[in-house]
Amino acid sequence: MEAESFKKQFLPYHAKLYRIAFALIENKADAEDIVQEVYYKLWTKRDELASIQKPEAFCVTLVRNLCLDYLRSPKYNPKEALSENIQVEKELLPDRQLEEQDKLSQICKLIEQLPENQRQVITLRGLNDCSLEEIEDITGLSAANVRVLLSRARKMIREQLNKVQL
Amino acid sequence: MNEKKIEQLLDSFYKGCSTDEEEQLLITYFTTSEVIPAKWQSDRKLFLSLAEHAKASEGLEDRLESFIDQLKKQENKKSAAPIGRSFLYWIGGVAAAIFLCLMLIPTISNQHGEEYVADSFTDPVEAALVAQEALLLLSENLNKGMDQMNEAGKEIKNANQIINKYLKD
Repeated sequence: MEAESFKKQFLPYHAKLYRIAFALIENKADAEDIVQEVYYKLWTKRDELASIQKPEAFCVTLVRNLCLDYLRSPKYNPKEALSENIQVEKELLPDRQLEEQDKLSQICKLIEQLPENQRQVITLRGLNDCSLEEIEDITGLSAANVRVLLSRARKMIREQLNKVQL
Repeated sequence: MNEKKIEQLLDSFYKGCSTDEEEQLLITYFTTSEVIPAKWQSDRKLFLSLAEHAKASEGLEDRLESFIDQLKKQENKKSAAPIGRSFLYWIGGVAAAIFLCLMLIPTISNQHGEEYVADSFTDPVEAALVAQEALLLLSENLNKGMDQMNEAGKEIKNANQIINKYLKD
């Protein structure tokens, strides 16, 4: 497979793969590294990929497995993971953007305070991102369980936001 | 979209039952409506933040594209380098064979103890001169091969530096 057709076929998945990696690893830099590794593996096996019927599902499985390997490795430090994520270059942003960035930071902090399962599920789903079937495959949870966790997570965040506004 | 419809969609959303299409309707409403009732301000915040949360950083696609281009270049270099190395081995082998022949043939012809047509030199000085020329030819070609190898080595080093830079970023 030529580089151009490889890029055309697989690069569009990068946003979803990043979202999945970030949901599982909870660190932006490491999530990017994992995504890069996914593309390295896809590139080295590109001649075999032509026979795969569902390339997107294949990529999702690959990124999940790499994330699970990373989480089991000595390199993973859960304490570092969450604290590095909210970075705001406040001195560079105009006031309105600063306000929006603060709101985003607030929600990110609320998401980080959720129990792990809820955090993973709400990050994977985002808005219209990973489908419920994909979330089931990635997390190993049942469809009913995923819905319940999504519901709890969303309600929890809304309650916290309402408290802040009051 | 009327308020009742929004209420229904939000209800479904918070139960975790909303479909992709329903969530898309809510995204459109919260991102495009000029006036949002106060009761839905928290919901609006949540929607906007979920869209941004876990979004891939700007430039990730470009970096991945450059990374793939570098992988392709590295592959091309690897397939070129062995040709240079095997060329050197070939030249060395041929030169060694020529030298050996030049040295052995006078010895063999002396062993026969009879006159026969030799395809080398009887004069050792002349043989030494020809051997010297053959070795000169060998060293010239070796130098050419070394230049090629050095160039390939530089390209590989450059590619490695770029990849390491991206990995560190």
